[in-house]
Amino acid sequence: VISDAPIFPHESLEQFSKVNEYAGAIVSFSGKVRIDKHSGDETQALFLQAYDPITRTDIENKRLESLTRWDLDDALIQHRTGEILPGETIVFVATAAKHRRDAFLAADFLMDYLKTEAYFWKKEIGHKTSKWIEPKATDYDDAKRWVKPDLKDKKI
Amino acid sequence: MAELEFLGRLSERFAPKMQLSIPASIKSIAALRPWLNEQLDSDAFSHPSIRAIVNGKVTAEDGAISDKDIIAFYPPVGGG
Repeated sequence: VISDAPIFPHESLEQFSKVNEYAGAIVSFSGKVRIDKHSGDETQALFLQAYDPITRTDIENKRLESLTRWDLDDALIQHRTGEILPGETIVFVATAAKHRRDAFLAADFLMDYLKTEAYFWKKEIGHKTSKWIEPKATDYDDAKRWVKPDLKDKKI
Repeated sequence: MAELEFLGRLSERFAPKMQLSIPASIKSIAALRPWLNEQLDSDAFSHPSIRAIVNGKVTAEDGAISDKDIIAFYPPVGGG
């Protein structure tokens, strides 16, 4: 789900848990706009741009990939677009599985994808200046972990 | 006329979208890049990190284009 509307992670998690009542493990992640500073200028908001239909279809394909790669009952991705204020949720990911490892790994995989490959463009808006920001080298390193074909079976 | 769209930081550097008449001799994304640089007085399109989506599909350098397409150029992606 991609929308300009606010995400309420507690409600999303409650709903997801209800739908997946037979799951033994549910993992969720909420990514929020940090309340901090950039270049000495307090962040006023983040602006997230998407380009549909490619943003939407690519996320759905990745969600389906997570369902085949791990033993999952379900996976949910919610992502904000437009202007997002400090403290608000940008992204919510939840996974449901019989066992916790599949749920943890799939949620981690989906977040790394969203940070580095999903079709979004992100701008930090400050009081005085604003700047477009791109993934960091560490974000790309994180995403590379999932390229190894044997990783899905590896126990951590 | 082709519709050019610019995403992320490119949308502010140029415009979110514009219509341009692409010469018939330009048949691929690779060929479009230097022409666009010239039209928009920029070197942005030489950079390999700037990629293209043609009619809603991510398109390789040799991907075909015509003057009827919707062509979007985008810098590196990332949300979350």
